[in-house]
Amino acid sequence: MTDGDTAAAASAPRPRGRPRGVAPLHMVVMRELGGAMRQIRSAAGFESLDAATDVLNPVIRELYPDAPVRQPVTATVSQPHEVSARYLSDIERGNTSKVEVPAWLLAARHYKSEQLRGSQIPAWLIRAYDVAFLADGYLVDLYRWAAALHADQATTPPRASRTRRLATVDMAEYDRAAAAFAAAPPHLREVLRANRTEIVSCPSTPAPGTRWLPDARDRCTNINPVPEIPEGLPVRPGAFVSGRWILRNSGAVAWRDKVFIRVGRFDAGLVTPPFAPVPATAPGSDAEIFVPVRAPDRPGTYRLAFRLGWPDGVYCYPNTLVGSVMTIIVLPEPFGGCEHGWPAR
Amino acid sequence: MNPSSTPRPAQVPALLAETRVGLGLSLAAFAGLLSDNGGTTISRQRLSGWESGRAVTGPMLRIVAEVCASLDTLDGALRDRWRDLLRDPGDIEPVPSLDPARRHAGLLTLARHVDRNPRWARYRQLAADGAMDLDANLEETRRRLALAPPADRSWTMDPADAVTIVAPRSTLGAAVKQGELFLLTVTLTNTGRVPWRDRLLVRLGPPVTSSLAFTPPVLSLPDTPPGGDCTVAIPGRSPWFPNLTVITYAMTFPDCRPAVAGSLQLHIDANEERGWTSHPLPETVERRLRGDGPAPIGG
Repeated sequence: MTDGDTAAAASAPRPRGRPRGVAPLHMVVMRELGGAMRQIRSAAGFESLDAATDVLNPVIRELYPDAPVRQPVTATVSQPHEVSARYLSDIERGNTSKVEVPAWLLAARHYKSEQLRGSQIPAWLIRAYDVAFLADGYLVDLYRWAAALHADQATTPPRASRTRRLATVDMAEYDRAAAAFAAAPPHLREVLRANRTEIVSCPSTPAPGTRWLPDARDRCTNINPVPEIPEGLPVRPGAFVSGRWILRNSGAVAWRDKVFIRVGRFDAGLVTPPFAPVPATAPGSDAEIFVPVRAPDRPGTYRLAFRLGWPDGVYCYPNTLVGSVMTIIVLPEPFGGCEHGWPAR
Repeated sequence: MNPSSTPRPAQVPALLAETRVGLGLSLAAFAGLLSDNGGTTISRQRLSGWESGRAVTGPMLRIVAEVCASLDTLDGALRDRWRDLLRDPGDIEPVPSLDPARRHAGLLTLARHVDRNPRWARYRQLAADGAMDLDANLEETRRRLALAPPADRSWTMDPADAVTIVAPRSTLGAAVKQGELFLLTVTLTNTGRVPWRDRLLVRLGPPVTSSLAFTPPVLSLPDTPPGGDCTVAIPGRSPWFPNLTVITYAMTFPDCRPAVAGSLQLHIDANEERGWTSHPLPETVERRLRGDGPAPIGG
């Protein structure tokens, strides 16, 4: 198929029905999670919420045998129950059990209410979606990311939790995570050592006259190098992968004292150190960042996210939810060997 | 870390009580310490309720955990337990692993519904451009997934089974824009000594995410004798994120157990823009984050 064919296909008439408007840019992480739930449900062919409940409720009954048939009047979000189409719609669109909007976001009249809307999304419903629509554990891993980032965003300014603040935990957390790479190939262990050497020299407080706070003139562009580790790379359980990201300083502020901070747990799912060094970078220049990654032993699909921040955990780009990501598919035992493509002639 | 040692919110009441006792403080004194160090007011009554089992939720739990994790006077083991709690705000059990039986049951359900994907009509049109009737392929997929296992061992992987991609007659990748539709066609040669009957191409991983392209989760492969060729068309949509994505299909029997080692790997490069940039930070938000902004609106 040629590029021209692809373009022609893309310009083909849309199916009949109400055209979709441009989706608003979500500012609340739980709304982003609701969008991911909807995306997988719709892709699996359950555009109808009534049809979705037909598959979700048996899964909920299987996962939570004691779940009541109807949502109890006094239910909290943590109590599993069978679901209705209305309930799913409200959860996905952020219309129910609203999460508190971070105070710093409320300071801006810039955002519309629909951008600041998000539901408390129950963990049990995420699990049910994951099983019902064959998400292969991806939604569960995304929930962990969302819950961690939701907690991080609640503070002013948004910052990583205490266990992911370089200035607070020093190198203890780094060394603990590095222990998981004892069996890694030598080049990855060398990356760990080199990163450690650079991180140790990071200051724990800003230089006099400077502040570690977001600046509107500071921008970052994720440059995806080619060839790279593709999204969705299949690997064996416990495999080691070399993560590499290139970030361009596309703003007007020189980067110094910045670190690459893992969002959420770094010792579960895809294991990485909690942070990686970011070289001082002038506006217009690129920073190359290397992070060793270890796949978990449990099969499934996992996605990690790193964000730029300072050693005290404050994030540089608080209103950008997704940072630098990597998605890896850990193959189940019967499919061991599928990390290799078939031969071609 | 041993995952079973990670405290859960349900264990917070005991952890609070142990912490208070470990510090040798009364309820009032502990509440005062948490208030002073956490930057928020926590009353003795509230603390008592938490120790009695009332839920500590959201940001408040994080404040308490951060204060306790940072107390130099607290026993190291208790501080570690608070640190563990901070590590895992998203307390969620993993889903059951996709063993072949669970994968088969799930794909059977998806195969019954996937043609209700809102873009299915466009995928059908694309597949037709690749000389494949997508609906007929799906119908055949449903039939195969519903088959009962045979009495013989014909649904067992055979070392004499082999596959080779006919590269000149295949499109194993495409460079497209974000969210754009694409069509890949793959011609395979049965280079082994086992005839392919009722084989499926099963996609590994989720059918779509914001950084992974959508393609049908399962397709049927034409029956092919040893030495013969078969062609399958795979329509899809590139991911929303600008990146390079790999789509992996395994060849399986109708019970979703692998039939041949290795996989079909297809690459979608939606990375034309070579990157994406952080969102602009509104001036009012910047001022608020720097401590010199306006008070929150309505909150």
